[in-house]
Amino acid sequence: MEPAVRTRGLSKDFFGQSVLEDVDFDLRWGEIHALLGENGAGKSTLCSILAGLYHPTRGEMMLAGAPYSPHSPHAALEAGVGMVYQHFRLVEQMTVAENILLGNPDVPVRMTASGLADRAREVMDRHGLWIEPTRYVADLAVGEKQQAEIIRLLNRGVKVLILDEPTAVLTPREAEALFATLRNLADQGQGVILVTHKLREVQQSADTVTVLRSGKKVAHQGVEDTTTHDLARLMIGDDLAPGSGVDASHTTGDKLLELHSVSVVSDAATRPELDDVSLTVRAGQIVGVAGVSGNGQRELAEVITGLRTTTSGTIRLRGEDISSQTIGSRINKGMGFVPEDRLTRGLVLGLEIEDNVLLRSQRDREFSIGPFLRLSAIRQWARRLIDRFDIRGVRKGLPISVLSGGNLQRLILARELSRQPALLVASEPTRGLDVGAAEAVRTTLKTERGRGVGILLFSGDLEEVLGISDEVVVMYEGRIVASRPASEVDVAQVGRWMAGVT
Amino acid sequence: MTAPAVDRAAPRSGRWHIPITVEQRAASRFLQQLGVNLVALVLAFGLGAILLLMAGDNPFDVYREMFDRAFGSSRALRETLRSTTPLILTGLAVTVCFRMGLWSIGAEGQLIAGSVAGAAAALVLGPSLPAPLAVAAVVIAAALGGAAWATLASVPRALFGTDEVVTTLMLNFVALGIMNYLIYGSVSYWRDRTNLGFPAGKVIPESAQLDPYFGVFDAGLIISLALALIVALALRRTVWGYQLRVAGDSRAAASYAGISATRQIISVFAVSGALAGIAGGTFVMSITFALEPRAIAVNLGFVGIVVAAVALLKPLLVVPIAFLMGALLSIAPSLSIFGVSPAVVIVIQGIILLCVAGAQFFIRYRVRITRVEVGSR
Amino acid sequence: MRGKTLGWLATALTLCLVAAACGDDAEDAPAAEPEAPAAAPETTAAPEAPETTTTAAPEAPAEVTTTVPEAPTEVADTLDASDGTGMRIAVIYDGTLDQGGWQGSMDAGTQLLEDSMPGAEVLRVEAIDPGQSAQRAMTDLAEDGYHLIIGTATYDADMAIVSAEYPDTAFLHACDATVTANMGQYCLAVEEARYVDGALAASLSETGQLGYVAGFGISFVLKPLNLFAAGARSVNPDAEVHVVFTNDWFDPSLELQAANALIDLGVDVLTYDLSSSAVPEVAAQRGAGFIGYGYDDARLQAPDSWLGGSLYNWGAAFVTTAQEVAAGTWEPGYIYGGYADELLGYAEFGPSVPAEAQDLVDSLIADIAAGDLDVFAGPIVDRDGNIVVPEGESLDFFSRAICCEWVIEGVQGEIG
Repeated sequence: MEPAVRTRGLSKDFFGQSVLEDVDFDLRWGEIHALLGENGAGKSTLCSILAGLYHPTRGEMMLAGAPYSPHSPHAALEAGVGMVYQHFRLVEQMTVAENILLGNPDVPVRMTASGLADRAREVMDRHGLWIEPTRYVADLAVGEKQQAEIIRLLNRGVKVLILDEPTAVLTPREAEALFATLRNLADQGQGVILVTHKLREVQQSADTVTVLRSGKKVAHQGVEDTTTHDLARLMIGDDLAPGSGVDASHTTGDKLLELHSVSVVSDAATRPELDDVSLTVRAGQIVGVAGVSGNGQRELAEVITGLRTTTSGTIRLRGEDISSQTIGSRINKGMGFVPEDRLTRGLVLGLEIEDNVLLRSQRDREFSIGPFLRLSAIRQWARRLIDRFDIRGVRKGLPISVLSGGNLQRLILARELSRQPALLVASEPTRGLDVGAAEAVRTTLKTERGRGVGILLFSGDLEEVLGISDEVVVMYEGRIVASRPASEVDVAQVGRWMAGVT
Repeated sequence: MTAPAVDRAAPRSGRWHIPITVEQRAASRFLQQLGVNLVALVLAFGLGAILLLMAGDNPFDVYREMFDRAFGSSRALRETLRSTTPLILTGLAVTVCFRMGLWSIGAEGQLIAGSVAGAAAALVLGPSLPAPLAVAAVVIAAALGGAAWATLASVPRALFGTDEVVTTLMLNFVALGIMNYLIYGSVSYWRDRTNLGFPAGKVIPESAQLDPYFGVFDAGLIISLALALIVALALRRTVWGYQLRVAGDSRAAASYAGISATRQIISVFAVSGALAGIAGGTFVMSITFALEPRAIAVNLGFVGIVVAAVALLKPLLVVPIAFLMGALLSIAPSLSIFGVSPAVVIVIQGIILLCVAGAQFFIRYRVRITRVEVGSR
Repeated sequence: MRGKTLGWLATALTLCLVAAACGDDAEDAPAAEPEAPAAAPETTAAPEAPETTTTAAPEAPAEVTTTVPEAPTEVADTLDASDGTGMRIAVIYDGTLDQGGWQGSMDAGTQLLEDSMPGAEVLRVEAIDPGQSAQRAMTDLAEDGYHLIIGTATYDADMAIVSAEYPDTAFLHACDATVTANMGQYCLAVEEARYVDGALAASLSETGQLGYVAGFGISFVLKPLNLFAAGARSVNPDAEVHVVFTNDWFDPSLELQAANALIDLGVDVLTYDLSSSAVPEVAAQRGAGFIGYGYDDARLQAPDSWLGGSLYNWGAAFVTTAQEVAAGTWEPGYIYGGYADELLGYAEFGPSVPAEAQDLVDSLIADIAAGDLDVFAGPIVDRDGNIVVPEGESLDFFSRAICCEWVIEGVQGEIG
């Protein structure tokens, strides 16, 4: 029987640089096929070619035994290949139902809102996924948006489903549900490609795994025949350093950040975004915030960093009330911030690397004299960060939008960490990073803590929160429902708190 | 496990795909750019020739005439450069706003405000000042006038989010109405009371009139070139320009970087208004020598939008585009004399602009024809 | 990015160099560096003109006469004054040639010029804005060797600048102020034309409410408006003229709205002071009558609504000037005349105009031409009640030329 997808000698060059080299890849019907590799290994490129976004430089592709060369994502979708990108293709101003049924030829042009919602519900029930169809996409949490995206593709009759780092944005429970759905789809005979760098996920959910390294295929085997350790070695190229747990000898210092009964109410009719939140971060301490995405973590990070104003309550930094201070003065007082939306907020994709390392430091004496920028100092600084944080793919004269997701994330971290902040608010700092890079980020965070930096860490990766935090705080519906030293809680307990079970 | 019905998997031969890929170029070489631009011009003149033949004109004669009238003598070059000056300035004004994603179409009204203020300065201060100081006074007054006019739109935009497209457009009409009122509707300070005929503006003193150097270009051109350079440097090398570029690319990133949207919007509008205002000031000093509503309100502010767009919002690119546009605009009356209908002139102008705009696209992007693989087995 | 910019600069530079090189070859030495236009030449009043003004500036002020050159004789030698052989004349229009009204009456003049001087080359240059475009067009025409350049609209300042640079070229401008050694003005007595038009309008109106659509509320436009009202009230002392200003010289849609609004107000005879055919169109649609404006093009468009109208015979001024320039006898001045001269005429009446009204018009014209009727004779009262021309007095030539800053009684509507 013909495989679902077969590529032979598939290669792709960008600007004369090879990012994918002679890759032979086979996807069978009915399997979940994990595509594993570090950032820049070529996973995204391979998937983008399959999804019609890029055209291969060389090589051929077959879909169900027939030659396949989609000229656009639309053509790929027509052929039955759909991709869930890390950055969703949803219309924010439309409802979930409208998004799901958008472009669906079976839906009549004129249809009432409730009719659309019913159709959408049908689709969702069939695939065992659920989001309230009348909600607007702009109001959805990241995890919910991804679900809507998957439902949309399933509704379009996709037979080969490609997911690019799907669990990066999901809570453990959501991830479980997703894997169940994917298994269900595979059992119906569909082909599923799961792009990931989380070894545990491969073991947990995939049938087959293909490992890419530096654009080349280094392994293709059944998951049952391999171990996490093997896969990690294949992916990174040498043995992993042993993981490090909580540093027990660590001591904490003075109160750095204090929140007293902070509330944010944007609309009196709905429940508050933040409800009476009190929290303390000490110098040299990592406070990890756990919670299902959409339970106030974003609002909390924004209210601390000044992007959002408090309705009531006070925020103190080193004892000084900063509740009504501007973002700029908070930056000056040593507040670093790695935002959750790295592409829209944390970076300026249309500008070059120098402009991006300068973000939030443009008034810094090191980089500007009066109204003038010190271009050579900025250039040097950019070069140092590129070297130190191993940011790859930078092209002079081109905007940073050419960089891969992982490199973009490293760029933000490089910028925010190298500024030696007193307090670092980090939202999902390791999302989208491969094992090695994520571990490096955690190590960096721990090093910074060792230097006395107070860190407030928001992460959807529960293991990460428990792994490096000194203190764990759990958020549910805008409130802090639990706050414990990390050593006193376990994953199951935190999971219950996150689900609102007390 | 059975394969699902994937009859849609194979590309259908009957379906038409556009076999074209567009990719951003890393960088283009000088000769490559020159080549692309030349090809574009040749293409434009070729298309124009077809049009001219259809209109019953001899393309060679028309083109020789166009070239002569635009560059063929120092007098022709002077006319072209006199048209270029205000277009550089309004082009820059639009560039500054558009780079920040502020869609101001108010350069026309700001130019008018600048000419009113500039003419006033020339009339009040001109007689008592030596030429360079008089010119400086007009430029400063015109800049302030234009900036003030722009501020009328920027403050509501910054404080209440009022749509700047609407306010700047309305303010254009208000400015025109005020200028008309000053000359036609009232006996204002600007109006020449001794004039018995059709209402006209008071002629500004000679110290504020710009004489051409070598009979070719005047101080207005030098001012506009200097400002193009300053704007380019400001965008590249100042904190202000940096913040403008960040805010233009992503408002979310700008607020994350602690950039005050209010302050940035107001300052960008003010700079844009000042540039357009100076266009009005130099226009009065170089061409009309008086506040002449019908001579000043000739859509230079709107043409500035075209210039900025074709120049891809690059301040230094605004200069050659304004030069080309200035040549095209300034020869229109001459071609009309030569017997080419004004409508044909407008269409030829449009074709040339389109081709040049297209050339800038091809310089920035690589377009490849993708091989369509027809299933052969 | 820097490379690209350099590329452009290089392109521009190349073009400049090429142009400069060509320029050196092409340029003629003599007129090489014309004096930079200084302040526009002194505007010169033509005061104290006698009542019966005819062509050529009567008793032009001394300063003008002294500067009048001996006329371009060298040119004149080669020209034939009778049929214009060898002569090149350009007429510059601010709108396109298909417009009516002012523009159309001017083009009728150009036509007459062509017919009267078949040997001359007459060029129409249309769609020229005042300002840089006008300066450019006139400069090019002068450079190209045109002997006479006629401006039909508001080019006074521009013509003053350009004519100073080309002393051997004759410049003639419509109804404005500047008269110099080689630039003259031509105008006609719109007050006479409008007085007669107003009388006809009032004699045909049933409601006594007349409508007037005009451009700007400036003296130039207020003069014909005032005299239209004066003529109307000479027939019906209760007549009222409702005026609407569009604040533009050519905006058909606004003119359409204005005309409709006037008819809604109860007006049954319309007239206008603009170049589009919007008002005749509305009159025809709404069944109102209308009086033309200087030109009878609208008679053919809306024959049933057409009532009549004075004709502006600019051609008389064009032909006289052209012949004088050809003969080398031209002395720039202020051509000004009315029914007594050939500069005003009257169009064919519309089918609905009774003989009685036609007779009224004929007799008014006869009286004006004979000098028995002075349309500016006092008393004239403005609409605020001030006496602007006392009983037994009239306006002199100068005051007529600059009239009017006031609005006569009987005119309704915002002036602006």
